[in-house]
Amino acid sequence: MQDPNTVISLAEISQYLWNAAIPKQQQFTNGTIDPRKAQQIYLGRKALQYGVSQNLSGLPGLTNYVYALCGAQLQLAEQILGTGSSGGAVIPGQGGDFSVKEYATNATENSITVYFPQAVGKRLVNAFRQGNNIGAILTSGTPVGNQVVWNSGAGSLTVASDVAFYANEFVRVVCQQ
Amino acid sequence: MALTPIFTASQFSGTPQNITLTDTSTGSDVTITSRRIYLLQANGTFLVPAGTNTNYIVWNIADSSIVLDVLSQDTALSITVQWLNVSNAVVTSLTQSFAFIAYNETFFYGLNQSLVGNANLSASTNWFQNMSNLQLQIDSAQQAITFASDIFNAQAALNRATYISTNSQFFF
Repeated sequence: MQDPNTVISLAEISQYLWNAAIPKQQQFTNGTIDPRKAQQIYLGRKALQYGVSQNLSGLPGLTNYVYALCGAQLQLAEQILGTGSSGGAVIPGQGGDFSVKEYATNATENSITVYFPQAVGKRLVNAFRQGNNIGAILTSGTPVGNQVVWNSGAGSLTVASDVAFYANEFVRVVCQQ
Repeated sequence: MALTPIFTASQFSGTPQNITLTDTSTGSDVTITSRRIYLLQANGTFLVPAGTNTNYIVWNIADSSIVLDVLSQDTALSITVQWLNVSNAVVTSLTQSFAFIAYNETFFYGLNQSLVGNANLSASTNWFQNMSNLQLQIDSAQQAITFASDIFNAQAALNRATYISTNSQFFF
């Protein structure tokens, strides 16, 4: 005989599963075998709970009856309850915003660094400047030629001193969040 | 330490006419010398065992529990226990509401045993709907107590359940 308390737990889960499945079956397939299934399980489970609490006779039969009522949802219910032999844990993803966003500013004449406060902490994907091409993107050191240095902590983009920004030069960066 | 009044009430399937009250109070108060129980029904009257001439039942202070043979059907009660001093003045008291449902729960359990023997019974729409209605009334009574301590509506639901179980020949 199944343990009555385990069957009570399985019935609670199965009731929910049937309750979710029956409307789908009615809508997307050719109806359902018994639209009262969830209700039947609820009634059987309530009686079983009372029988267990009062230690009434006839528990083995009622336990098996409620167990059988769980029907097609039983295997999934057992997996959810953790008594089944198959199934496994699902590790949820971290979530978060991984989108790419664009920020722009106008540089001061003869300066070599521009700042993007909204891009602090972001990873630079690409950069554009109006007055020159952009070469390799470095994250440290001193840029030479078309190289730029991206300082993530400061949200700053630095160009080589021999190709400083001209007045109000438009600078755009594309960063991953 | 002052007495913090607590009591529990229980009822068993084999003896549904009996209510068992158990005093689980914590602390103590040397001035308390006796206890009284009031069983208020939904109709405003007090339920007492046969032969009792007062509205209350005396609960000997030496006894941690007491069995009251008072029920003839499922009943919702507002139970007040008073802890009294030697002058019968109330030192402290506690009121709690209960739905005693053993009569109908036992009958409902029997219906399920019938289903175990003949699962086809549930194929009868009337049979199944009446069984559902019985459980619905039991649930309603319990929720009236749990959510609102409402013995009036709880008793109304229990009366509907009792009608089904005592006229079962018309429903099942």
